[in-house]
Amino acid sequence: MGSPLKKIMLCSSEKEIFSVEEQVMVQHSVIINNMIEDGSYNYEESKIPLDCVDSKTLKKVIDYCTYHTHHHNDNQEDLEAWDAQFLNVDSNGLYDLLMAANYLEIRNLLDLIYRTIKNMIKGKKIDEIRRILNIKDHGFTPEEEEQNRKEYPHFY
Amino acid sequence: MELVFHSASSSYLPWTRRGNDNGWRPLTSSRRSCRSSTKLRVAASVESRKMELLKCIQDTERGLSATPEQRSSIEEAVVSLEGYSGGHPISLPKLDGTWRLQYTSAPDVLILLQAAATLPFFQVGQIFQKFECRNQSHGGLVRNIVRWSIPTFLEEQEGATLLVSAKFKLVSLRNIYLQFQEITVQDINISEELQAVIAPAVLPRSFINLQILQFLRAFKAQIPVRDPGRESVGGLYYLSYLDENVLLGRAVGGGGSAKGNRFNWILEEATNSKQLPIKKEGKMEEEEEEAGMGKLPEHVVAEIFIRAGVWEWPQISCVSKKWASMFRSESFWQGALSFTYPFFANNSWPGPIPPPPHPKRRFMALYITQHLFASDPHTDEVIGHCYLFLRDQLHLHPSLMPPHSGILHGTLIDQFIACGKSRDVAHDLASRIWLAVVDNLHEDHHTYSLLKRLAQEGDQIFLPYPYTRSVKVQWRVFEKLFTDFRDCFNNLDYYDILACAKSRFHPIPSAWLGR
Repeated sequence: MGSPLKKIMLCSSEKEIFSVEEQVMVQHSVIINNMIEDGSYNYEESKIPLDCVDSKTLKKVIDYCTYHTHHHNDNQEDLEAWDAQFLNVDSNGLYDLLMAANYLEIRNLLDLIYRTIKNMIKGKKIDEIRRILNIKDHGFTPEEEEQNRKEYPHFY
Repeated sequence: MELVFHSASSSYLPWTRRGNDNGWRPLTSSRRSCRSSTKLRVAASVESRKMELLKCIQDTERGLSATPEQRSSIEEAVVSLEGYSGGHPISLPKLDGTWRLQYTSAPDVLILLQAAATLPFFQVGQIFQKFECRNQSHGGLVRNIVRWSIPTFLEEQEGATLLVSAKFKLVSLRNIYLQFQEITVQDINISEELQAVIAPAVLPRSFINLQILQFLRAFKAQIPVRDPGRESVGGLYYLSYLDENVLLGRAVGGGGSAKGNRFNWILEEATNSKQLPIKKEGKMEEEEEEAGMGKLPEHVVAEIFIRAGVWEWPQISCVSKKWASMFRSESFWQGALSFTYPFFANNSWPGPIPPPPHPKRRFMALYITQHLFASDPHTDEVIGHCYLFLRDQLHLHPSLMPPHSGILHGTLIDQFIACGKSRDVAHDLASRIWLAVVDNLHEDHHTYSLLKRLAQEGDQIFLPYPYTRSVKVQWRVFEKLFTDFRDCFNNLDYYDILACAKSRFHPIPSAWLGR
């Protein structure tokens, strides 16, 4: 709710402090919006600790929020192109971003990543999906796996 | 809300002595000046203050029967104890663990205790608060655990557990910010009266809304405490005192409402966490080892699948067993509902086929309405439910024959008329549902005997005015028998069914003739 010039402090897991325009985070992050709204944030001394977010990821998250705050009037295609470029990271980077977006509850970023991962597995065979998503232990017993293969041979 | 949580193993005494590593810091300046030499004395005085506090709350039944005088002397004792930990940041390792409620002034919890005191059949057992933050430095999970039971119906003290979980974040030295995530009820079926008693008592008032109560009525595991339109409910809490065995806290006015302390609570450590009926999630440990997708929490993974589309779900459930089990959880279907049908209202309707409580079923009904009948799922959800109703009735049990088709047909028509359809539309919809169900039956022996029976029922069925049987449906039943199930006939059946067909249709198509 504060004025657009107000800054808030975010602290990454490496204890690096990022100062961001309040409006940018409030607009995108539900949790930060809640904190500011109910007065739990103190502008003089509070730093919002984001312990599960490392500096590299936090920087990207802030980039995303900043860009989308200032460019929300751009046409859809440009924004999508920017998003695609933005998510051009390896799968671990993607998971980190997802966890950060989930923690901060940044809805549109979450949705973007969900759709990206969904597209990664779309139309793939099961073994490929396991490889792409790095699933080592699928948890099925050999009998169950055999049963699945029999029932849905076209998935494999 | 004042809550006192107390160590479960040692009822009151002895208190564990604190070491010298981070001694108490009394606030009064006289004490501070001679701090180093009086550590032991200070520790002793902390213990005595804790004793005082516990004495105050002893006869209050966790705050239920506290008189105003008792409340004020408790408040005094709380304040005097709080004086000993002013300014220290919260130590998460110390916070981690299970705390038992000893005293509260929170109206929401008091209602629960009151219910237990006045309703003879209802007993509230221990109330616990479990913080999970061992390896974290700025937050974690907190679960409110309420155990309750109904003597003679449920085993005492082992009855059931209501879990309200929230994630919390440290926002400043001693403040935590709570966001409620979900409510879980473990292993239990209870009556509606009890739900009415429990639901408002445990949840903070601000999120008692109809929707949640309806979820609770369905009483399945894991209800996410958030709905798509609104944010989840949060609250700011001030932890005013924390040591090995006592935790004092206060809820701070939030959301722009009145400033100051709304209520406070006192918790005592429950060291014997084995008593808790909470299932330890062994999964958590596995997840830490797993790399990649495995480390993502389940609700995040579910969000991805929800976007993947229904036709991909069978494949996804073959990828990993954990994922397969996700499709059995209520929260998955709730999420799928709110994502795929954002305008879905948990509405009800009159008629013989009521809306089911389970979100999976509602999702299926909406999906069938939209894709099988090309109707608007938001106005015609009932079509999907009628389809599922008829399909289930026909499939009740392989060895059990379903109710007479005339009865089922009449029920469908009744349902549509109850939902405000005209008689013609209701007849038409009922026939379409029959056709769709018949077309989608598995080709197995059960279906064969089912169709045979439907064919033989024929004209013996009496349908009261104004209902008529659909010729189209009968035609389809015979057609299916004479084409898809031709090989199942023995001679006797074949001629019998052929006779039924001839009595109804003139002429019968030549494709039905000959075996």
